[in-house]
Amino acid sequence: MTAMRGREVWIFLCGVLFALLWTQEADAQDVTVQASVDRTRVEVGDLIQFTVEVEAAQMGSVSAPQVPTPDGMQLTGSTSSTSMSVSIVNGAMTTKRTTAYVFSFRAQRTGTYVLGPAQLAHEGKTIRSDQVRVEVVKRSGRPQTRPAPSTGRSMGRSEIREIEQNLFLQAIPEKRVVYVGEQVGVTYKLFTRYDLRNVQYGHVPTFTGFWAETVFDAQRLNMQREVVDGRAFNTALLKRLALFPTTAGKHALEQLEVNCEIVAGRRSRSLFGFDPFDTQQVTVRSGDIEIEVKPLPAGAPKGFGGAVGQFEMRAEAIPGTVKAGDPVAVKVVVQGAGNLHAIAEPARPERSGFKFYDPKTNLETRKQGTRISGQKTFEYVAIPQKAGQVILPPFTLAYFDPGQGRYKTVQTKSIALHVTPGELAPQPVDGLRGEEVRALGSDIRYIKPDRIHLADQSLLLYQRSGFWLLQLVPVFGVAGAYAYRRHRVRLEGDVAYARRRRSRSEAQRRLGKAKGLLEAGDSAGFHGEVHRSLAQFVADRTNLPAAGLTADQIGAVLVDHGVDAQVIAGVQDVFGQCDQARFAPGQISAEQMQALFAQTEDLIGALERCI
Amino acid sequence: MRTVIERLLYPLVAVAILGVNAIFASDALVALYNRGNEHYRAGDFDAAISAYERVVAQGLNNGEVYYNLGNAYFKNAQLGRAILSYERALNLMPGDRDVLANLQFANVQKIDRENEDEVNILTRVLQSVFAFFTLDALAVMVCAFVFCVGGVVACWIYLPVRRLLWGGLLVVFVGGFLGSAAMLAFKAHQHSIPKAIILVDEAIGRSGPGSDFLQVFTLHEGTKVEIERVEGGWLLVRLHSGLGGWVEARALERI
Repeated sequence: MTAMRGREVWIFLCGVLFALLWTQEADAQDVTVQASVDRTRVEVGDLIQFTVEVEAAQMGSVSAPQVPTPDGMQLTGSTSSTSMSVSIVNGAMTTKRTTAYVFSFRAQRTGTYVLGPAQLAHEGKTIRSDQVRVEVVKRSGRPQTRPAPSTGRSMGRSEIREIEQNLFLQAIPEKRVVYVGEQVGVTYKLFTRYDLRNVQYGHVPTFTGFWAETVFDAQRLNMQREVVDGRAFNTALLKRLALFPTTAGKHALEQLEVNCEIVAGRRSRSLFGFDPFDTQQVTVRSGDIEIEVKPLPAGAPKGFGGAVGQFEMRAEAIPGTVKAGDPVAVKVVVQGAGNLHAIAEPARPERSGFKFYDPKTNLETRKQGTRISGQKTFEYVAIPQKAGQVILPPFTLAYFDPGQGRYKTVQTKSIALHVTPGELAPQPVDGLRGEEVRALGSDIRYIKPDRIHLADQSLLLYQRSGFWLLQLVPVFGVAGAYAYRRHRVRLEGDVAYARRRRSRSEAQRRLGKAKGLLEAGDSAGFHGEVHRSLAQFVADRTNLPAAGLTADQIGAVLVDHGVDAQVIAGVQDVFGQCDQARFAPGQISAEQMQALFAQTEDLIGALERCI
Repeated sequence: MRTVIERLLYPLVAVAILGVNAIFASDALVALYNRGNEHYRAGDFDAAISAYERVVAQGLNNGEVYYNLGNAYFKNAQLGRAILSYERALNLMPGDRDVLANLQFANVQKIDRENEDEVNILTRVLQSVFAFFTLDALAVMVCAFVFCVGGVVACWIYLPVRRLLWGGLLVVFVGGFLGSAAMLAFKAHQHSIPKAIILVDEAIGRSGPGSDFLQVFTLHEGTKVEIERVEGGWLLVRLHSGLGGWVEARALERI
């Protein structure tokens, strides 16, 4: 509780506001999912490829799609590949990543099936793709596969052997021992001495444990003459594949299956002679092949990302002269023969003085014989962060050369760029400029500094008595205001009260005047003022008119108010002295007047207490 | 009338100002504190601890001393005492960011985790608002509202026109006074509950005050508990989660 700070209150309120606005923001991060199949009508036993394409700005938050397997189909495998496109428009960069998931289903029964929907989770929501309708029909009248070669109708052993010797399918691997990732070419060749018709693929191997690239796939049989063991065969190249083993171990290649019809022209004759329609259906399979895949040797250099083959690398930057803050297109090309598809981005130069954005990759392959070669291009957008003559340091790629059996590293050449200072402050690509400061470690905060004074803080404010006493101040304030108001009201309505209230200050004023006269030596004036001040004071206190009030009347009034006799005598004495001074001036000394003044002051004080 | 006010009010204000004002420590204690800082800077945490502890032992309750003492204990790998010192510093300087940060940092290192309950938004807001005001801030608020109420009442008496203005202000200030006073009372009550920090590596909580009673939980160094009862050498402590048990008094120290 105490650990919570004031700031949290504000953060929370801002959070609520932001949450309200977020709902609109979220729409911008849409994920699109599309589903398709390679064909909608297949025969029983055929493979259907169901492709789910997921497009999103950020793949990290998107799960792999789940596809239900319909009853009557069998999921034989799935692969995925990702591509990315970056576009910068008016300095704003958008990234789009597309991942294609390919699910292979084998149709097992006839019927109409619905593939999908593929489901994937994105930020707690489930996204569904479309569904695709697929029709599975019966195989067109050919027999189910039997030990190769086999026919639809019963045949004798010798007959089978004869066919085997004259019709066979060979799978020819380049080599049988390879490294992980090393290219191995496999050629499928059909050898026949018969006349064949309706040659069609039956089962096509899926090459588990390999990444397979088709180099050649025959669209029609292109027969060539070839002599094997002294016998002339017609041979046709069916397939050429480049296989890249993905895991170490012994991998058996599945058999390729070809269905065809042998025209029985020479051998089988009917009663009526040659029957051009008498054919024999045969399924031919390639032999078993096992390929041993060796793991890559230890001691891979830093930055090795699984590239196997022979590669070269070059880099170029366009344009050669830019303003600071403007983007430079940097193209890094990896060229050679090997598993180009598996080549990860070459290591970007560290501390280059450039800000790099994730590259756009492009793969171009060429097929030569059973080998695949080509080039993979990484196109970067780089923004120089300093002006002047800037060197873009080399990119490096580590790869394994299976021919020499060791690791190698290639580098691009350094590129010199001329960066002119920007006219304006460099226009940053939104939110992507600079690096956020990262906390490297954490420790307690440092001690408080030395002090000159240290206050004892043991008592909190509310624990101090003074604090509570302070609360009485307003109470007194209210009481004061009430008293003052009552006083004002009485002053307005009650003459006697008003005169009483003023009496003291009036007497003070007159005595002050008398004092001035005393100092000036005006004896008559002084005694007159003293007399008036005392008489006026008594009149004010008793609410009587002062004019014409004699000393005797005053004495009577004072007696009526029960004033002490001694005080009355004093009053009479003052009046007497004043009268005397008025009628016999010049005989009064300054000391006497001083004494009279003091006596009058005392009397006014005494009278104030009793009337 | 005036004399009455003079006789009562002036001494009152004088006492109040004296009472509210801080009492400063002697120069010798300040020098001792500064020497502790010197030791800390030199990395001699044992000496720093001994200096700060002597300042505390001589009766000075100052948040900065406790904070620096907590740091020295933390650097000396005495987590329980570090947390204890930080908690004491926090009591004296509520809301001090350094103290809060280091207390949080130290609490992460301890073994026992207090599982924070999932609370709804309203409770969280109320808790944040509640935590936002320190006891002193609430006391000042209460005082300010009392003065405002007094001022409005005095103005109303003095100037009996404008009833609506004075009445409205009065309602606002009385409301503010009641609210802040209630919060102050509640917080002061919470503050008054004695709390303690476990200082031993492992303290066993039992169902009664004695080592024969059934073991109900185990606590580790640095864990904060509320003390409910004391009996002999045993304390009935309650955890944040509501779990209660008797722990030997020497296993912990009051904040």
